[in-house]
Amino acid sequence: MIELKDTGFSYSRKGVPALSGVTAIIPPGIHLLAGENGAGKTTLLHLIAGISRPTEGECLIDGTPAASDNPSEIRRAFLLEENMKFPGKTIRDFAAMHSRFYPGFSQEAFISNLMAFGLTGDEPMKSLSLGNRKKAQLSYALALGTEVLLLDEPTNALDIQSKEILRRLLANNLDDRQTVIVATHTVTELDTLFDGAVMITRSRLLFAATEEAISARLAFRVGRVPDPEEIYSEIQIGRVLGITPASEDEEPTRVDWRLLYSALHSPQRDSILETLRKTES
Amino acid sequence: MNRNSITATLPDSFSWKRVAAIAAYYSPYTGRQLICYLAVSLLFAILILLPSGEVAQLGLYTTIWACIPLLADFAPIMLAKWGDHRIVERLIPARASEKYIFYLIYFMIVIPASVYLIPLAACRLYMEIPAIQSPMLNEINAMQFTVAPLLRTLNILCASSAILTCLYAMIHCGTSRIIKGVLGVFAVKVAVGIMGAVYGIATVVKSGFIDGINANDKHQISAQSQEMMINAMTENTPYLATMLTILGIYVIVMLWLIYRDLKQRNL
Repeated sequence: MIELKDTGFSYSRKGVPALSGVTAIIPPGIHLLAGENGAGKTTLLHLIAGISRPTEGECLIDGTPAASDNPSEIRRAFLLEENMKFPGKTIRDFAAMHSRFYPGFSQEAFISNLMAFGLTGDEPMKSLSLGNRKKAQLSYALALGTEVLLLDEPTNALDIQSKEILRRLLANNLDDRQTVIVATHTVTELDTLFDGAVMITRSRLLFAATEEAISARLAFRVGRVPDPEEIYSEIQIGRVLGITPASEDEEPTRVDWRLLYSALHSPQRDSILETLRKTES
Repeated sequence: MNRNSITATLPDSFSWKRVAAIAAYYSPYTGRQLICYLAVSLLFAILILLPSGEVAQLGLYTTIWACIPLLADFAPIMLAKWGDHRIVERLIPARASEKYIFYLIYFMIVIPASVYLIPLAACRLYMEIPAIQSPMLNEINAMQFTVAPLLRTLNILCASSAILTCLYAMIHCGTSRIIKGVLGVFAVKVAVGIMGAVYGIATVVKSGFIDGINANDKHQISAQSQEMMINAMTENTPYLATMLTILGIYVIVMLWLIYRDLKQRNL
């Protein structure tokens, strides 16, 4: 479990904070991390990965600081950044040297992931396209078996079929104790997988909650005409997508992450947040 | 459970096995670098032993001994040559002290040994083969092996300060690491050069051979004057002590900064 306690980070002492006052608990599961460009997503990923130390507050994994010098604590988390390069001629060469530090690494899962993406792992990294390099890296990262896996824009450069494969691999490779945080702008591509979300804007946390908690407070509706109770709605061709306060008499609806993201970046943001908090209290 | 993992059962305290695993992680690059460096130093050794005219030999000798320290100074650039892998490096589950020890052993011992030992052996061999010897080079070579311990320490500190500056740039800087490393090394070289010039002038003035030496046997002069100069330099204790102190402090600060960066794991 990841705990953020009033976490903040500034790149320089007098500079504008890249992240400020973030307090959240992120339980095991797959979580969406969303926010506009420059909101602080990458900074948050760096803090959880332990490669940046909070300048305010704390960032904990299972009760101990994420930024640690102990190998057993460092290997709890792995970060796959958007344009990260792995050293080594091939992904197999890299895995042979790097996986020695990770006791939870599964060679079988690694090979199986590569095969799912149609790779052998012996392709020279230099000659791989951006998409294929990403597939090779994802195959490796998913096989590491780390407690926390941080994926920054994992679907970028992947073709439609590969996005579907990734969705399947994410669902099959992870166990109940693992936490995966997916930072992405393209919310819809993995939306059926998310167990929760962390949304940030302008260096501040908007909210962090599980799907269960959100659907207990908000209902996501699709209709032909707007619902009078709607806090937020979007008109699409032939239908209206809307968010209303959830009713206790109704079955909880599936969270439409894209709609929620759009609502939180619209003038109705405060109403949405108020509804979430009102029910909370 | 990963059967390949060597670190699963190791405690969190410092472990040489993890240092070896870090060395193995870097082996595709360090292996290639060592092969290149050994090949270059072998080439230098052949050139030192190549019978040629005295002037050509002196020119070659000077060039070779100017290039060898640069090879060692810029060796840490290997860490940046294949792109920015700093995130992967920072995420390696090993103690900062283990990464630190690997860097120091590799860049401060293995690399200098790979570039210096073969040419030095060639110089020693040169002195044993009268057929290719020139009197002046013979004297210079002989002096190389009989340098006073304090001057040898000064040489080691000069070399260490340049290597550590380059290594610090590779570990600390996020952008333009190669350029910053190269500029850092040149800055150190210029600073050391200025200090050396002041030291040399002070020694010359103090020793009283400012007017130079007039004689007919130029070979004898060169060897003699160098020997006199070196003797005078070792006797000029206050300047030598100042240089040693400045460089010693610089090396300690760089060692601390590198360790601090590795310990903080901050990008």
